[in-house]
Amino acid sequence: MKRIFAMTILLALLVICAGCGTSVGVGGDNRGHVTLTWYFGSDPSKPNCEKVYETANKIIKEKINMTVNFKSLDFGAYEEKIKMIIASGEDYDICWTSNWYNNYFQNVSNGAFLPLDELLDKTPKLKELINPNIWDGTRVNGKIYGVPNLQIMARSTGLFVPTEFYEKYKPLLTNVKKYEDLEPYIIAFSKDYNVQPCVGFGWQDICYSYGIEETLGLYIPGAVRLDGDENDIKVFNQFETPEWRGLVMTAKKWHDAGYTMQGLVSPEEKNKPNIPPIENPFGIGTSKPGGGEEASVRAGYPITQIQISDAYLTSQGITSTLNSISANSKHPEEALKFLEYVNTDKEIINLLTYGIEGQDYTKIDENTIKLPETTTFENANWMMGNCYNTYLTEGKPANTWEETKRINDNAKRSKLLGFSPNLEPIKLEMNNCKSVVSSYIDVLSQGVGDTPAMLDEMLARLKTAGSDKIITELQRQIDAWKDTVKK
Amino acid sequence: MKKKCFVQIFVPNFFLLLFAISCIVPFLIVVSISITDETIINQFGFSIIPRIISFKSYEMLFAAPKVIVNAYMITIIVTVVGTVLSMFVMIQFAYVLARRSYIFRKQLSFFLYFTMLFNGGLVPWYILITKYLSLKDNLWALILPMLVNAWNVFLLRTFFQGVPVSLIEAAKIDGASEYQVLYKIICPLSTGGIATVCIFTVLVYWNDWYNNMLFINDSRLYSLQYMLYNVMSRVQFLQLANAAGTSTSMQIPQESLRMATCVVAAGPMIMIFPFFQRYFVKGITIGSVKG
Repeated sequence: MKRIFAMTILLALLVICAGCGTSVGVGGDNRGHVTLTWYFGSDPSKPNCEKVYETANKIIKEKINMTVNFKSLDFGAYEEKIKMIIASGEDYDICWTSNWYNNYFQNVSNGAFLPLDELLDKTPKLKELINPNIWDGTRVNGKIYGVPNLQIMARSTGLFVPTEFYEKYKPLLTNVKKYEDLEPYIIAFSKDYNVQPCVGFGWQDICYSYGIEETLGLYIPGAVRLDGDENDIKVFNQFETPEWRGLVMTAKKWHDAGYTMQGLVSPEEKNKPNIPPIENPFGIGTSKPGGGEEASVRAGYPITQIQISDAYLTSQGITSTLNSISANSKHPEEALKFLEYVNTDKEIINLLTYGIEGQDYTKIDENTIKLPETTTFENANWMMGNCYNTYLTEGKPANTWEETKRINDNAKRSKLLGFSPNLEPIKLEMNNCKSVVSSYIDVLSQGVGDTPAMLDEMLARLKTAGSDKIITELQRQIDAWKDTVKK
Repeated sequence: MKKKCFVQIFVPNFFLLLFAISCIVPFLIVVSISITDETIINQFGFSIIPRIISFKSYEMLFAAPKVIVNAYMITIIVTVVGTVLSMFVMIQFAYVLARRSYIFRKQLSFFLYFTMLFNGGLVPWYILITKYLSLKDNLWALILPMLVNAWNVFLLRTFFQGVPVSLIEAAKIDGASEYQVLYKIICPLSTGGIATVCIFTVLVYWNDWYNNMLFINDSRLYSLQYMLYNVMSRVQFLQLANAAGTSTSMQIPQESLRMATCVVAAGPMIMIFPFFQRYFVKGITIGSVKG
C-alpha cells in the first residue's frame, strides 16, 4: 500500500515536470512576424499590467508587425534576476541597463551586449533623434552598446532651498556659485531662527561647481578638470585640491562659529526622510528641470531649485539609463527597429509608461496627466524610452522636457566623453581608498574636530592605500584612449 | 554560602536576561513602528511604546487584500507541500542510511556528504532549473530545490540508529514489511528528531525568498517573504535611481508600511514556534549527544 502511494507521488512529480517542459518554446517565430523579449524593471503586481501590454501589442503589431513579450521584473530584484538571465545565456532580445544598476560597462566587458554601430545605419530616425555627443557617451572602446533613454543627462550642481526661506533670503542666495558663498545665508538663517541646522554637501554633486569631474565614483581618488584644453587631460586626486581643502575648512568655520549643528551627526540622522523645513536650510544635489517640484513632493513642502554650476555632458550622466540588445539575440535588427519605434512614437511610450487613459490615469490637458493615489499601472518613463515624448505628471512645469532637451543639447562636453575606465587593475586600491575616505567624510564635511590635521591624516592614509597607483593607471588609460580617438 | 549561591544564580541569569531583552526589543520596535503614524516617526524617531497608535499602515497593506492573501496562500501551500514531501523523502533516505544491513550505505552516505562540501555553483544550478527542468514561473521551483537537506538527513539517520536493531528484527519476524518497520516502529520512536527536522524544514520553506526571486516572475506566484523583500529592496532601488539623477516620481514606501509587512510576514511563525519548542529542545540535545 505504502509502496503504491510512494510511486504515485513520484509519478505525479515526473508528470508535472514533464508537463511544464512541453509548454516552453512556443515562440511562434516562423509565422512571418517576430516576437521580441524585453526585460525591464517595473512593478508587475499592479493589476492592469496584462491589459496594458495586450493593448500595446495590438498597436505594435499594426505599426511595425512585431509582438513583444514584455517581461517586467520587480524594480528591487531586477539586478539579481537579470544577472542570472544574462549569465545563463537565456534567449532574450532587449534588456534595460545603466551604470548604477545592472551595470552597463560590466555587461559590455562580459560580452553580453551587441555593438550597434552598423545596425544604427538601418534605423536613421533613431540615430538622428539622439545628439552625437550623447551617442559618444555610450561608447565603450569606441563602440555603441546601448540606446540611451533621453532624459536629463547633463550634470550640474543644484541648490535646493525650502521656498519660504528662498523668498525671504533671495538676495543672499542669487549669487551663490560655490559652497563658501552660502555663508551669509547660513549666518542669517541661524540667527533669525535661533537654530543650528545640520548641513552638509555631497561631493559627487558639488564638484561640478568647482569645475571638477570625478571619474571613478564616490569617494575614490581620480578626477579631471572640466574646463581647459580638450587634449590636455591631467588626472589628479580631488582630495588634494585647494577646492576640497577650502570646502572642509568652510564646514569647520561654520561649525566652530556655531552656525551649524554641534557635534557629529550620524549619517542615518542626516539622511532621514521628511526633514521639517526648519532643519533643512539647503540641500545640494543634481539640478534638473522640474527637480524642485520633485524634491517638494518628496519633502512634503515647496522647495526651490537653483542651478549653481554649468551643465556638463559626462559618460556617467548619459549611461544612467539605456536599453541594450543581447549578444544572443536572434533578431537584433528587429529589436533595434522596435527601440526606434518606442523612442520616436508618442502613443506607445505613454501607454507603456502610464497605462490606458481613463483606467490608469486621467488627462488634465494635452501633456499633463493625473495619476490616482494607488496606481494601477506604473512603469518608469526613463526606463522605457524617450522621456521627451512622455506626459508630465501633475505639478511639473509644462516646459520640463523642452528645458531638459535644451540643457542636454547645450551642455558642455566633458573631456572624457566616451572614455570608460578599465577598473580591473586598480580594484583593490579603489576599495581601500573608498574605505579611507568614508571613514573621514562625516567628520570632515561637518567640520567637527581638528579639520586640517585630520585632512592631512586622510591624505597620508590615501597614499598608503594606493591613491597614486590609481592616478597613474587612470592617466595611462586616458592617454591611450586619447590616442585612439585622435586616429 | 547562601550569598555565593545568590551570585551564582544572579550573574548568569542577568546575562541571559540581557540576551533575551536584546532579542525581544528589536521585534517590539518593529511592531511599534508598524502601528505608529508616519509623521510621528519623522518627528520623534522610534520608540518601543508608540506615542499615538494608528493602524493606517495595516489599512494600506490590506487595502488590496487580494495580493496579500494570495501571497499567504502561496507561502502556505509551498510550506505545507514542501514540508510533507521533504519529510517523506528525507525520512526514507535517512532510514536506508541507518540500516546497517544495506550494502550501498557507505556510497549513498558519501554521495549525500559530497553535496555538503561541493556544489555546481549558482549559474549552473539556475540553468538546470530553468532550462532542463523548465521550472520557471512554476510553484515546484520553490519546493524541489530544497527537498533534501543533507544535514537534516544525517540528523534523522542518527535518530533512527538510536532504535535498537532487535526491535526491527522482532518486527520482521512478526511479518512487517520494510515500510511498516519504518512507519510503525521507527518513526513513532523518533518523534523528537522528526519534529526537530520538521520545524527546520517548515522554517526554511516559510522564510525562503531567494528561489522565489530567481525563478518566479509571475506576480501571482509571489510568496510572502518575497513580497517583503520586494518592499525593502524597492526603497534601495529608488534611492539609487535618485542618486543617479533619473527623473523619478515614484514614492518611497513608508517606514511604518514596511514594518507592518514585516509583522504580517513573521506573525504566523511566532505563533507556531512555541508549540514545537518542546520537541525542539529535546531534539537538539539528543542529536548532539548521539551525533
